[in-house]
Amino acid sequence: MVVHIPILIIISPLLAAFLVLLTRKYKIILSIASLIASIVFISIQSSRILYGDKITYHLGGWQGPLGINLVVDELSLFFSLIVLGLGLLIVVYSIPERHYGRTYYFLLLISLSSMIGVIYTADIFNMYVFYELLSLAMYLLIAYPKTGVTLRASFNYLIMGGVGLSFFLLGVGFLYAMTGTLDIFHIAEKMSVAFNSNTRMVLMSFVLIATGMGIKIAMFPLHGWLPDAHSMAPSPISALLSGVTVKIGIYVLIRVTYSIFSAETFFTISSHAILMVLGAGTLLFGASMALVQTDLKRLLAYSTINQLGIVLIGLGIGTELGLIGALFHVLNHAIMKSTLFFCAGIMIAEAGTREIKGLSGFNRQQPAITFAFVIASLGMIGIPPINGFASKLLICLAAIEAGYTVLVVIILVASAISAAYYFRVIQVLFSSPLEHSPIPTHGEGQVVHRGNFFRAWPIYILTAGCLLLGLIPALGISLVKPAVGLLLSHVVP
Amino acid sequence: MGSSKIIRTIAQKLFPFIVLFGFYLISHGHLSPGGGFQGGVVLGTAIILLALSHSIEQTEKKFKSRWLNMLEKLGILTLIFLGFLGIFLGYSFLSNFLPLGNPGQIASGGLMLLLNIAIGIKVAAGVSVIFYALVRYRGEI
Amino acid sequence: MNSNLPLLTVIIPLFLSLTVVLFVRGRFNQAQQLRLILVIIFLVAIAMACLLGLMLFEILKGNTIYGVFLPQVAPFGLRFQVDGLSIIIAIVSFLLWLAVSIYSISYIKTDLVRYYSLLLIILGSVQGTVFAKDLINFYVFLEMTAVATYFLIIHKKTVVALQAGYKYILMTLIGAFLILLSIILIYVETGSYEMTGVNKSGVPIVPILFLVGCFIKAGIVPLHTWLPDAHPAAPSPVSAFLSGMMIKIGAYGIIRFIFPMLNFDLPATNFGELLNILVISAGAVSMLIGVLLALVQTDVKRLLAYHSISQMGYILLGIGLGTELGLAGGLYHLVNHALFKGLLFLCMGAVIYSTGMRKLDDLGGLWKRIPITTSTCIIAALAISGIPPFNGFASKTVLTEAIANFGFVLKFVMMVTAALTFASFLKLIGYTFFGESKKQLIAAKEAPILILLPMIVLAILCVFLGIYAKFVLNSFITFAIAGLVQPRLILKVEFWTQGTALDTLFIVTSGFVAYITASKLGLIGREKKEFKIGSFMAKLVKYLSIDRIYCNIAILADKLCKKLDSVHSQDLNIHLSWVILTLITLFVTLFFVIV
Repeated sequence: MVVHIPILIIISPLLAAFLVLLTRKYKIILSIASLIASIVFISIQSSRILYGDKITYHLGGWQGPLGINLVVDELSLFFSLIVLGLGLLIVVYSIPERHYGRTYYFLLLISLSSMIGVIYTADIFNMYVFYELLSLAMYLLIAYPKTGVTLRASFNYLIMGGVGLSFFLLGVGFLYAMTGTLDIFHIAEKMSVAFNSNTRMVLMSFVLIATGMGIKIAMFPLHGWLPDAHSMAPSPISALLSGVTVKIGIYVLIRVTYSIFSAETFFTISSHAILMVLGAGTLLFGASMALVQTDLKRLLAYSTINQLGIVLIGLGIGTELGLIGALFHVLNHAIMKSTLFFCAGIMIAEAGTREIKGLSGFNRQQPAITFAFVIASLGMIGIPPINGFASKLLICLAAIEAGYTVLVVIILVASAISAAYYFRVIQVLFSSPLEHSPIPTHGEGQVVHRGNFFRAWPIYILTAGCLLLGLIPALGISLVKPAVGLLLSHVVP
Repeated sequence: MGSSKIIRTIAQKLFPFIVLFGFYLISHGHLSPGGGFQGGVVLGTAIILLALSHSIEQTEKKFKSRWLNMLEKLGILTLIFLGFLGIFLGYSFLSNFLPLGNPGQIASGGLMLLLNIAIGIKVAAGVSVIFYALVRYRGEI
Repeated sequence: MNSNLPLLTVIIPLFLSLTVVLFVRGRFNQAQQLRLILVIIFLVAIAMACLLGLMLFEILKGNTIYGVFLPQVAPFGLRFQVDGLSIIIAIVSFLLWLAVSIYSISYIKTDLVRYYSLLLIILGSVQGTVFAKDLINFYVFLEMTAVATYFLIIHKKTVVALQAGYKYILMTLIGAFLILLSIILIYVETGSYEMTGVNKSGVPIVPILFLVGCFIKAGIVPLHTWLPDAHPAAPSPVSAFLSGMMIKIGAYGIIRFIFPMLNFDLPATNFGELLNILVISAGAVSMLIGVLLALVQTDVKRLLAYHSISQMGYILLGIGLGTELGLAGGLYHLVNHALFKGLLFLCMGAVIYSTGMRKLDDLGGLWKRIPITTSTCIIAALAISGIPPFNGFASKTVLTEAIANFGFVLKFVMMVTAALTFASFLKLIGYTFFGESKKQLIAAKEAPILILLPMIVLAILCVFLGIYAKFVLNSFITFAIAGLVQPRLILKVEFWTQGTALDTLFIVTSGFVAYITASKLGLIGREKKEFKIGSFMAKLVKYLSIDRIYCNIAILADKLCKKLDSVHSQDLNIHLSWVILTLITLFVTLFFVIV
């Protein structure tokens, strides 16, 4: 049974998804059980993987390159841990919403399962299929409250995501034409030959794949869908989107860049410079736009663009320290942004409005949630001893070591701008409520519960995670280092 | 949807042949162009033809929406179950465990046939359900 | 020697802060909460006193203490180093903290859990900052203090406090990021985070960045604009700790990291001279501008805040001179200022507690009703003006000795500032405690004992440090600077000479003259400005305000971003065109330009 673990991790939420459609009573238990099962499975294997032994699983008994392989190596392990952990917390957070029917949990489980599918598969076309499945589930989840704004946001995301994935498919097609195989590692072996013979075609496929994934990651000129989609979605889905889904795009980008086009090729075509420039542009753009938003979730969405710019800069730098910083920041951002969106969900539900101005006096009502929000936003700005500081510092160090001092200045300027808008929100949270505020005052002295237990505990766990990773960054770095070692050692012979 | 009597009769007569053709496509998926998805779409088309020529309400009475929903879910569950059978019988997920017969005959693809049937049923049910949903929204968009 | 003492000094307050949060919950009523908090503060006090005392004994013997905890992959991990400078500042900050927290028990009435946990975090972080062995640790604890201070400043949650806090945190974070930039540059150049890295780095921009960052934190003109808003907006005990300690951390940064570059004991380099001039002029300008602006204030705490800027100028002047006498003077003044400025804010807090008023207009004739507050306040005012036999006089004398060889201009600036300080405090004391009493102050009574006790203790310390100036100078201050100043000297400063007596006389008389002239001209004093000069001065101050420049910069940034936001369309077609455009650009770049 143990050897079947990779497929079981993917199938378990998938199975639960379809079972959830059949029942109404057991939907929550099924979802949580399946995710816990997946987490248990992955932990069984994690120690083996972290010691450098990668797990390959042949679907249907067909060996690659004809069959589809599932490969779990350190990079996949890292990303799948993020997906599963946050997925579980998101399901727990969604429990108090009574009006989320079976469709919601179905879509949620499908999206989580396909995320793991994208991460584990070693066949690039299969990656495309799973990614399309993931995107479909996401489109429907964003539009789950069927209001006009969410439908429009989902539609925008659908079109742009579809365009992006089509570019990805086109790039995959070029790769297949050049190398004759669809398995990632086989393509990598044939890539050096192909690169020398038809350079332009390789470049074209790379550009297509990168642009396609760029749309999914919301790099600067390709980000148009993100503010609407992330802000209009229901709060747990916003957390899923910002915290996890964009990270899948980063995973695909890393996998394609480092496993298919080896690191050397990447540098030869100096696309790392382009990545850094785009990353810096994304960074500044996200920070500037977030500064003037009045809607809380839109501000958080632009902040996601901001932080992803930093990750892109880290990726673009390409040295070991840069990659460690970038991946660590992926982990940190997933945790922090989920915390922020969870808190925002509670705040918006209590205050009845999404405007920042309407949230005044929230600290008086729920000091614990405010505390979590403060800790997470301090981490986003990059203030020690919270985890965001550790990863930002690593990226800055990597940037200066590689000689790009300008990048560090840009990162720090963006951090200052982040401080400006996060403290604006914190300020409002601490201010006194207006006289005619719509906030229900809890005159009886008891907080209106509304299932707050299920909403609060994921927030507490995530905040504890922020502080823990901030005080002992070695925990996170030890998770990331094997993955980076894998990436950088993969040199195509 | 009042169509003329000619169309209604022809549609009624054609229906079993279309269904047969759909099953043919499904079962010969590993031998000729076709397969689970294509055959399933043809099956769904049969139901859509009925709905277009007669009225939606009559078709819904015969092919109930609830049953179609259930069929769809059963289809995918069967697929996953067949995959698990592969695991239980010692091979990988979705690996073939039935004896392979002579190539060129129907019973030669092993697990492929069963998978195709499952997918075919699912797609047929799915297409019909989608059609019902779209028709129900007519006039509301 | 290696020990865990520094680690404990930092960890214990942080840990007890957590205890406060967990155990002093909203279930108890306030009296029980206060009792529990008192117990916790008592525990902290005993623990810190023991730890600091032990470390002091070790260091007096001549050793430095090192401590390491969680040594991880650099740059993370706690590394501590305690020497004379660190222990002195740690002890002073602990004393001030103790005074402030005991004072707060009677003063602060709302949100006790948050307040005391933050206060404990600040104690731990301040100790961590001065005990830090490498630059990253320094930065980490510095940031912790900054953030904890923000939440204390906005404790009252009024609109004024929130805005002041916002300005404070933005400017402090910008300063911190400048320091971080210089730290990163140092790492890349020297490969480590050692504290001496600042002066070893060859790139001149690095110390300048660090210096500017420290200037922002210390409240030096022209980067001081957060201070006059933040310090008055905080509750009085917090203001005392802010003015007393938090801005000193900026000065500590300069002493520890920049001072070794300042031409001391090294062959004179151009760059060292440049830094000298920079620090000295920043100090001098702060002194003058601080005191001039303080003269025209009508709010009690704002006046004291401007005086903080002015006195920080003194400290920087001392440090910037680059001689051992100058450093001794600067450090001595740092210690003294912590004591008397803390005392001043606490006294004014007591006045506010007793009367409920903050503006000079509303106060007067209180000496009959709150005599103890009055007398401690007078002691503090005399101390800050540099009148013997209080501690301000001692440190100012050392500074005067230090600048003796540096020309007439500095001496002139010092004298003028001292005189104007005296005048300003004449105004403060006169209008607050003397003069005719207002009707609504009839009911003012003396503050409770827990408020008065810290004030009295601080006042006694002011007197003590003033009278035994020579002893303090030669035993504590010299060994404090021993790490930075080689070899260890006995500083010969005569405190009770003819020169100093004449200086004092000059200060007192010119102070009186200035006060009388200015109040006749309507330049200072109460809201009523009969003369045109008064309103002219007000207009001048408003026009030349540096604060306005910063606010305008912020407003400009905001406008630019709003324009960006309005330009950013929601239309899908535009975004798709951007996608195609990006694709084409990437093609072109990669195909034709690179390969």
